[in-house]
Amino acid sequence: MIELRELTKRYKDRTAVDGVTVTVPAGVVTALLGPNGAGKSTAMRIVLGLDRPTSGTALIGGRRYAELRKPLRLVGAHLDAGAFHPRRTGRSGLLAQARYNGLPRSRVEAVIDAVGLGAVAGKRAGTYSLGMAQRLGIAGAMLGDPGTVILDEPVNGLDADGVRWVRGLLRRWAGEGRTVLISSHLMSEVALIADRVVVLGQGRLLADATTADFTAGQEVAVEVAAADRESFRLLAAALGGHGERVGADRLRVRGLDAATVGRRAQQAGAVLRELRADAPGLEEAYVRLVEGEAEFAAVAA
Amino acid sequence: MRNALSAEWGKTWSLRSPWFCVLAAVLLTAGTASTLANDFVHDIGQGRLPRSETLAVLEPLVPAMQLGQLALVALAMLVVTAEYGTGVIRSTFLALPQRRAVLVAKTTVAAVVGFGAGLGSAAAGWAVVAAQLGGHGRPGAPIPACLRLAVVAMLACVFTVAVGFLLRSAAGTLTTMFVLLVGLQVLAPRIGEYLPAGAAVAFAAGDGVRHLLVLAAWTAAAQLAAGLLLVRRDA
Repeated sequence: MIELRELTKRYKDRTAVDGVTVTVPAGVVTALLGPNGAGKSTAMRIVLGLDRPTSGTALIGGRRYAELRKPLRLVGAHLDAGAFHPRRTGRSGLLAQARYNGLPRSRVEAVIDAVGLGAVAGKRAGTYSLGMAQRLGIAGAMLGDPGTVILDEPVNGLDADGVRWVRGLLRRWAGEGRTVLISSHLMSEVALIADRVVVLGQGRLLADATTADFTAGQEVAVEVAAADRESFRLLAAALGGHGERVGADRLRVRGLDAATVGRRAQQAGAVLRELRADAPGLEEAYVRLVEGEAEFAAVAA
Repeated sequence: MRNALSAEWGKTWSLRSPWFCVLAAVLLTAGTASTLANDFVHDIGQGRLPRSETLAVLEPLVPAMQLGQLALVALAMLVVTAEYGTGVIRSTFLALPQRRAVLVAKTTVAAVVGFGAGLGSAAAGWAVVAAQLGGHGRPGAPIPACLRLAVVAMLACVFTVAVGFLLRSAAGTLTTMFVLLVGLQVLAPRIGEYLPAGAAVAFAAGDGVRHLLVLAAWTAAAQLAAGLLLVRRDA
């Protein structure tokens, strides 16, 4: 279990993490979500004792990371693909990490096999592709067979096979009762992996829920298209403030379900050529949540 | 600490550059010492110096070692700055979050390598100079002299690890160490003997243990500053 309590990290000119309180439970995959610059990586670095919080605490299993002895046996982390020296072989990089915590050489070979790097472990890490570097980093996180795993953007740079592999790995870890925290800026990949989502925007906690709850609260977006100009006029009048024109003969409806829209169209005598209700998506929920929160909001051209 | 030392030792020698640094230290020291000794013998051959003139073996060896140990300083620097440059330092702190233990482990590795390679360089330089001077050489006491040079190289490496943690960049660390160990010698001895370069040279030349204490005090101050700053800074 990972606990953040009133966690704040301020730099000179900006606040990267702003009073975040959240608990990441064991036995499920939790995704830390947010646009670039939302504070995900900073929060992870504080949890891992790399950055000092301005105020608040971050605990893993009730203890601060800096207090842990032989931490790799408790927490496995992979923050970025540059965690290994490019001119050291993958194997010797892992071996150095293992030695710090008194882990046997056999663990190094075991994790190399587990991530499928056996053929290139004797090559310098600098020659690895991004996908191989990710696998090496994940191997590093697995070294001590830890009960808590923290991975920053774990599927970045992986091919389709690799993404499937990571998904399976995370599911298995969670199934074994481990605490699994990943970060991502891609909603679509998280929807397939995570049981829980924690959404950050400009350092503040925007949501902390199960993936199901996160999407359930979202209203269904209905789109309706009229068959002709007269029908469109009648339809727009019937829907009033609920409709928003999104095309020549097309309205996006908020606050009414598809059946109500159809009934009102019928009563008004409007002929429709399309009536569609979009399933509530994680993507949509997420986009709405972070809209206006994005630090570098796009400027309309 | 045994785990940390074994990790740091293994990390150091799993790269190629430290091997080059050790080789460079030996070759630079022996080569420079040889050139200086050769100049002396040449001057006698040319009649610019009387035939009876002699030179202490240590005399050309001290400046030669001052140059050669810069390769060992580079090695000690790489132990720290290569990790900051590549981001490996974060992996290191993840495995060993007690950062002062990381400082101690890296310092110990640098000290052992600095002393060992320093002793090797000094011995090689001594042998070359003694052979070249032949009858014109005043041998003195080779073992204490080489040990003093090795101790200076060791402290230079310990100093460098501290400066590496303080500055975190290779260029800054190397420049700083060059100024501290060589550049400051341009100052008048009255002031210079209290600064690292002058103290190192004076101790190596056999002018007394108090010079060693001056160098050690500077090194300790840098280590202390590194230890204090290290736990406060974000990695």
